[in-house]
Amino acid sequence: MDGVMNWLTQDRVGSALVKVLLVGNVAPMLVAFLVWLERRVAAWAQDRMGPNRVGPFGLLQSFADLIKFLLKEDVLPGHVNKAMYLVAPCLAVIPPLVVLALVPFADRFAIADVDTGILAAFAFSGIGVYAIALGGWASNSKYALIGAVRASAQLISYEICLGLAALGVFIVAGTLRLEDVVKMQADGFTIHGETLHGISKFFDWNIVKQPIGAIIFLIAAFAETNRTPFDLPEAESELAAGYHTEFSSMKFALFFLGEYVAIVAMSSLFTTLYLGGWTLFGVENAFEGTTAQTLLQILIFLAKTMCVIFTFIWVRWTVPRFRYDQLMDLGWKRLMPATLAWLAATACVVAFLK
Amino acid sequence: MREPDLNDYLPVLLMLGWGVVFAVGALGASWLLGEKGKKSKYKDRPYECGMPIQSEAHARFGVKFYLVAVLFILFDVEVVFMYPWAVSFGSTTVRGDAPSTALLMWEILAFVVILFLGWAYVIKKGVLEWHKED
Repeated sequence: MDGVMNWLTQDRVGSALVKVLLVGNVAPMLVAFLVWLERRVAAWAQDRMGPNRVGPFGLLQSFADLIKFLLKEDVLPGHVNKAMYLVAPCLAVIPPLVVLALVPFADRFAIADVDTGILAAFAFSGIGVYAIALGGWASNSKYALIGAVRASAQLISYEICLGLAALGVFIVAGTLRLEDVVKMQADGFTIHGETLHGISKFFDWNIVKQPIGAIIFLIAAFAETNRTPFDLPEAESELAAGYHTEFSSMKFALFFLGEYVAIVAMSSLFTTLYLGGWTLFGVENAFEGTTAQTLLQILIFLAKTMCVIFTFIWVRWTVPRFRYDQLMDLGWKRLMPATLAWLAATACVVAFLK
Repeated sequence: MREPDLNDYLPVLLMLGWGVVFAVGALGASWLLGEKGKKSKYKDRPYECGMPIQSEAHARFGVKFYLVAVLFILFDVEVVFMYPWAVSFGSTTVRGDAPSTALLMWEILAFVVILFLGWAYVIKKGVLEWHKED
């Protein structure tokens, strides 16, 4: 078993392929669980039962849904632009999967450990806009088009805030490699080149050093994944279903899946950047150098990510949807200057304290 | 520190390949297994909640969206510029190179102020006044 783990943590094409297949299959399974979780939490928040018929506690509901998606008629309507209509759902699901390939799940356990780390992750998550824009355009339907135009404007607006908010972390870290960012959050609080000991190790996570940045990153992440209170692209009360109005069966399922994989990807990024990734105040080194250590780190990472994902769901069932001008005002007139000020403040503090 | 190597990106390509296989596989499976329905002229029309279709699908939409896209390009390029800056700033603090740190700090403050002026100009011009009729 230790041999297997050693092999997996080395830089080889074979081990990379195994890890790709592992993550590429676990992520959709996790999404199946998340959809169930979302519906159960929604039910809990609204004081009703939620899905509880298929399997224990309704756990198999998502698989029943999957079978239904597979067996539904695969409609290719005559009024759509066929090539783009088929490419759009694929584009919705591929980029967030690739983002997951860049996240370190444990020590030396990222699928791709690249030095541009976060830039590559943002680059791929940015491609998600194309899925929505193409989907809305190819549908040749006015609700889909309006939804797509709204969504594109929203996504690109909040992408600026996302990038600016995360920048603070990299000013503190001085590297773009996500593994180094994680390790930096576990090596103790440093002021003037001296590491403070004792209780200070509990304050080394970036959420302590970058509280405003973390909050703005989380808000922008809600907007990037089209979650309430920013789910205007598919505001069903105004736009039928927004950009995926014309999509049915598996093509709709891929949009749906892509949205949830994006939530997983954004939550893992948040965990990596602000919550210390796979570290937990030294607990992560409990089984030094064994398989159990890597598994423990993955478990810690998953637990933190699940907490962030729960926050996503929690906010969705708590906060009502914004109006479109409020959404744009929040992004451009509030968050943008706030992130710029925070950026300047971070630069000054780091220059004087490090 | 490891040496940067283009081979590091190979796993990203592998994941991209898996994504394509997954998405195309899902669409293919649905095409193979899905119910074969009858043809109908109603399936070849956009869905507008069952009402007769009014006007063409690719209707005109607000020019504001276009302006937002242009602003995005402007600001996002600035953000991308700041990432290399953050890395070199961070590395000067790690090296303890105080003069460079101070210089880089003043540089980014100037940059942020210029960016802020641009932002203030955009707001002053009313580019983001969504409720006003043009």
